[in-house]
Amino acid sequence: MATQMYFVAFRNQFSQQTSHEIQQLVHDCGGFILMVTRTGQVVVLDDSQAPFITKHPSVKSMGGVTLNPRGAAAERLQRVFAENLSKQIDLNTMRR
Amino acid sequence: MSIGADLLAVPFGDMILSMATAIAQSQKELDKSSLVTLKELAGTHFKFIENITEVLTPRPTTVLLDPNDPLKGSVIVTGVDVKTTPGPEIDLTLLQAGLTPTFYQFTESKIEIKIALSVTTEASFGINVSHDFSMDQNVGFDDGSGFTYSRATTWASHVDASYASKYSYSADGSSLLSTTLRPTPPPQRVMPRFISVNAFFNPPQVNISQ
Repeated sequence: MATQMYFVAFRNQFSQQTSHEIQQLVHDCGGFILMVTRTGQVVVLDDSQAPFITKHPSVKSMGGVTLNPRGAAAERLQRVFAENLSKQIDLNTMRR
Repeated sequence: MSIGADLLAVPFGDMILSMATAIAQSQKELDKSSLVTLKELAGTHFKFIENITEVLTPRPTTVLLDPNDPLKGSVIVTGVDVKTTPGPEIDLTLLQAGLTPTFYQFTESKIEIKIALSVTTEASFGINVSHDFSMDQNVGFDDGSGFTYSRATTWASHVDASYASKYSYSADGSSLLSTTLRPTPPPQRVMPRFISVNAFFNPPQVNISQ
């Protein structure tokens, strides 16, 4: 099992419903949403679960991504990812 | 068939060629997938606000000790005004911001052939010899007072020779093909170098990211 960061690109124009559907699917597969944009989402997911996401009809492509620390806004992205991740992780459940 | 001949019969060349072809095709597909992600990242724009300025200014406020009885007096408490001014929005792509596609590479491939050969030869040789001996003797007198004597002797010998040879040969084989896939840094030629010049500052700030 290896957890990776992926960018999930939407097939059609952005719709709130599609975005929520894919977010829910990622959650159901044990993943987390790091960032949502109008063209796709940055998620973190176990690589064995990736095929389930790509099968969704609204997903155009899905590929692994890494954060380049020398990027123009890498530090800010990292903070955004951490903030969004902290909202989805229940530390009390993890301690148990 | 000798063991050496069996090993020579294994199509190593074909197996290596098939494996190399499969790896090359897989590598091509992986690179294509990474390039698709690269295009998506380059096409995903977002508004990046680099700075948000918060100006805190004191605002003393008079608070009544008893709101129902103003005669009880009042105190001055320290208040604060917060004025938030977001900086200018910069249009960035996720690629510019620092997200890069992961490229994968087959770093190690291995072909392992295992052959178990067993050759068994059994030979048995047996001789079975038996002898039979019998003798009959007759002694008598006939009417003419003659004396008769007869003797019959038989000798029999059996020789039974047998030869059996068994030859058994078995060969079991298994092959193992394994490859290791590792993420690698994106190729330099694929990844552009971003030079951002922020003219909002004087002198302009130059940020180079690769």
